[in-house]
Amino acid sequence: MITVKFEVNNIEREIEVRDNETLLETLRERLKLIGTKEGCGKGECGACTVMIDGKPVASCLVLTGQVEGKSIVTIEGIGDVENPHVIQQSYIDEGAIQCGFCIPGMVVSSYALLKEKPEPSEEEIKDALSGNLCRCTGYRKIIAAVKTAGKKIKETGVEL
Amino acid sequence: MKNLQLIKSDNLSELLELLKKEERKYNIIAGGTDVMVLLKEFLIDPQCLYDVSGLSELKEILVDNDSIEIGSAVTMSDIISDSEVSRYAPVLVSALKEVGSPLIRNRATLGGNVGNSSPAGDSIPALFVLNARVNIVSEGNERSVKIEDFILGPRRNVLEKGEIIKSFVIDKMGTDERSFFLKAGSRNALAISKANLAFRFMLKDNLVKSMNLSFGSVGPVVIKSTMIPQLFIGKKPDPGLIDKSCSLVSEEIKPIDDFRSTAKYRVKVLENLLRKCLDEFC
Repeated sequence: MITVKFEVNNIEREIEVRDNETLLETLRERLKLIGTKEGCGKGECGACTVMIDGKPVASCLVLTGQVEGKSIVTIEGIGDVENPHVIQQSYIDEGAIQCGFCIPGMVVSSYALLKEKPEPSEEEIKDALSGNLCRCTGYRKIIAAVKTAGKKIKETGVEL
Repeated sequence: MKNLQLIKSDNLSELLELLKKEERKYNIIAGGTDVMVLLKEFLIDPQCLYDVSGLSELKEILVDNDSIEIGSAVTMSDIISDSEVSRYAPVLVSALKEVGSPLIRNRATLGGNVGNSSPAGDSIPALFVLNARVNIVSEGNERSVKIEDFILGPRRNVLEKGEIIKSFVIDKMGTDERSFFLKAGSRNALAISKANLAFRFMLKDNLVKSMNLSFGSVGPVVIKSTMIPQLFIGKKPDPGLIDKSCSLVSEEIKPIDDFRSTAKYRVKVLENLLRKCLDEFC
């Protein structure tokens, strides 16, 4: 076991984890942040997307021991049912959610993109979400949701 | 995933010292985008992992007069967004943009892609045409080998116990040189190459002054083309030469049938990728 000190959704954590424990396992099983999903478990589906120091990554391929001193943001750090983030609300408004399993990862990737590029082109949206698979929607409404979110962020001046 | 020990250090010499003394089976981990998959699928069986992702000595990009040195633990995203690498080694940036997805590229490193030594590693053909040298370091010792001598076979390379990749030194391309990286996979993102190529050339007075060409995923290791550059150098490219060079592709590569593609398809698609590059000549 190793002790790791890191920040999750702006809260300092110091926890003991197994050496072979993935960040995904720590988030879901120890911290009960179950918004982050496990899909393929090998970095191909994006259901487990979280941000490490602002960059979206597949948390199933990260060992928790590797995130010492880092800042992690999960879907819970972006918004919740009572206070959905403008990105989450845009996904709802555009009808971009069907089964919903991929959506936490999609929203995290969308957040990372919009923080970098508030007005992304369609190509940039497709590229930013290319690691997040959705088997329901056909992506059109997801892309529309990111565009809408970008516009709303610009209009309202919400800081990401 | 089996039990193992994770060993971290933020000091290169300390890590090398530990590695030298290590008697157990180990793997080096940086971004983990290959190592973690191999571990989960029980394709590697280390007793410990040495994490190099925290070593600042391996995370620098240094630009010199005629070369660029890229640290082995620099992430692919950081290489892609580096303005000097984009300007002087665009073929490497094109190749790295084809790797996985942003989620993968934010973790994956150049050292990992080369250290994994897969015949399908997308960065490797680009490193071939940039005449890359691999700087290897171990406790009290450093050596440098050409990229084509570094990889010995599928997932086999010259690294010995206690050694890690420190950095890569690549050519700075001239402003009069052009380059391409082209890849055929099952889809755009998250697809491992069925075949790929990196191409670098310079035309002067309509004649081919220099040409570097390499093929990936079509043999046990990345293949450096010798016949095709020989055919073109000193000549004015024309449709006849292009047809002839495409017919040489099958003589230079050794593709196999596997779960990802067939040898027959790989030959055909690589000929087509090459034609796409060479058509730029005319």
